[in-house]
Amino acid sequence: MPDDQTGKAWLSRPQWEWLQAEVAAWQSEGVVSPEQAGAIVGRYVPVIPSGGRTTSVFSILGSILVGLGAILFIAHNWWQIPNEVKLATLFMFIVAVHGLGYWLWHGRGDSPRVGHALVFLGCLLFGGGIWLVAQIFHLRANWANGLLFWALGSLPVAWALASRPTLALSGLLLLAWSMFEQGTLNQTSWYYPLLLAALVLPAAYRWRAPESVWLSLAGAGFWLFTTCIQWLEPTRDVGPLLTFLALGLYGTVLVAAGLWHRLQPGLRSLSVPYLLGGTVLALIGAYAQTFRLDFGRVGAPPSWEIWAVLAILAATTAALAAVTARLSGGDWSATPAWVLPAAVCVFATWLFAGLLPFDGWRAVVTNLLLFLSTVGLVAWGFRQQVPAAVNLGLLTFVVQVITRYFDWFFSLLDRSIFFMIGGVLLLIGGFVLERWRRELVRGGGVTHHG
Amino acid sequence: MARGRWFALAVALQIVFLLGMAGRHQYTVVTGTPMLLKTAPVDPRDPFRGDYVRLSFAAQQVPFPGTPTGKFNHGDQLWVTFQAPAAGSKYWYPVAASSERPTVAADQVAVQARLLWFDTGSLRVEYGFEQFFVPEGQGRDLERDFQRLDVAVAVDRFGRAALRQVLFDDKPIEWK
Repeated sequence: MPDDQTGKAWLSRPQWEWLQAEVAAWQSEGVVSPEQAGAIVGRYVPVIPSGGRTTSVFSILGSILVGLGAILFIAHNWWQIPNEVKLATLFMFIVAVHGLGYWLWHGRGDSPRVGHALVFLGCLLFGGGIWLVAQIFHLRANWANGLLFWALGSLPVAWALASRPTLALSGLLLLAWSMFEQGTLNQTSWYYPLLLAALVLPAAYRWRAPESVWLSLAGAGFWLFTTCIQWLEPTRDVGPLLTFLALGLYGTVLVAAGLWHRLQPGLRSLSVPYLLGGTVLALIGAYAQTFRLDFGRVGAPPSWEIWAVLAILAATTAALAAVTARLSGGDWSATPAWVLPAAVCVFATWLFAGLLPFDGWRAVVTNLLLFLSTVGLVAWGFRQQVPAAVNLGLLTFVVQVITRYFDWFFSLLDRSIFFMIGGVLLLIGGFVLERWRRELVRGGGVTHHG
Repeated sequence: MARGRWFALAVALQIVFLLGMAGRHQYTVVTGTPMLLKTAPVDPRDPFRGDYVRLSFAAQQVPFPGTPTGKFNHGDQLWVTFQAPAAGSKYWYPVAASSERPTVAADQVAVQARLLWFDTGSLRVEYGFEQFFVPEGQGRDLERDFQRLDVAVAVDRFGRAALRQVLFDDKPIEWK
């Protein structure tokens, strides 16, 4: 990554030392002239550890501790202090901490990180103020709106000062509020996704804040999950499977969106939450479809809303897939990682739509697709050097193998055949890969690293 | 400088919000019609506000003749009409429930409530003052002596109710 001021590229301290030693050797061997050596070394600058991030992290952690301590102090409900004094003291602290934070950050400006942390602390104290008022007036227990008000009161501060920690705090509070609302009231609230789309995600993109993107994607997934559970309650046994199906399709949409983000130079830093979170959800959704179940208690058919959600998710996946493939010049190397979980989900959708019968074949095909999917994910991870993809693929493989080994819904002979076919496929794949690699090395003179 | 102004506005909004939140409830407590209700508490804890006593009232059971199905759903807001204490009693008691704000007599008060569930001939409702926050560790004593507890609430002209005090032997509780 080039330095904005000098135009030179940053190198870590070990890289910098390696380059200097190498260039000195080249020069002494006559490979490069002293001028060329100077020009090569002059293209880079070593990263100077500034301690800035450490200061930020410690300051924010300190603010979290002080803020939580203040909220616990409020919860203690010290009766010797009159309510009016409690309120006035807290108001004073909120204004003073915000004011001092702003002064250190932008006024005097010589301690911006500590100042930023104090502004964050001011928002935590604002939350303490909400709970103090709610305590004084004995407002309803399990009062979820307190979390909403806390988030809505912190968001203007986050926007005014471009504060990523405050944005993350707001995202976390909105997520907690949504979990409370959806979980306890058992009814669908559209406010949460609207608030995310209007107030949190635009800021997260503007400031390239992956932590807030993580929170938003996780929150949206939870919201989709609980909403589907509510909508699918009348369908009885089929409900959980369809819920996981929606979650799996949501995951594939995220992965497709993550691949698209990777291709955009300005958005590359935000691709990880989509790719990692999406892959995990896609695999969970696909895994849930691999069980052989007896649907003896199917209730009412799924409502039109659930079909609409599944259709929108499937169409979005397809659209993003096409765009991604087009943008990457027809490079389909990434596809096994997410197309196969998507295939599992789409296949399951057909089944639920009544196009295919509910019998053992459903489980056989979904297991095969998930197996190919994990193999594809591991292969893609090795090829693209993404350890997380390799680990996720291997973990899913292990989970699937253990599940099927102890699966009582297939006979021992069936399972024996599945395992042997899978093993032979992998051995053949390994043989083909090894031969292909040997030809590459022999034909192109490529140096290999093991 | 614009950034500083936006920040000052955001902080001012936080303070105004907290003042408004406190003021709205203080208005009910100060201007509302005082009512006394009989209660029976239990003692849980809130992660942000500490220990509280969960209050249960006979007044949460509101007489409702007929079948309410179709008229009300779980969580709906409704209005409960309270009658002033009868001769020889000091407690207000509910006499009717309706989905619209009722016209009440001089010795009655209409209170906003939320429907919990139906019983035969009655509705179970909550008013929002079913909890009383107490200093840490002092809820259990109240729970033990619940028969000596009364709850004083206030109802403002909008029908909003707020808890004013929990009385122990007709006197405000003194914390130890």
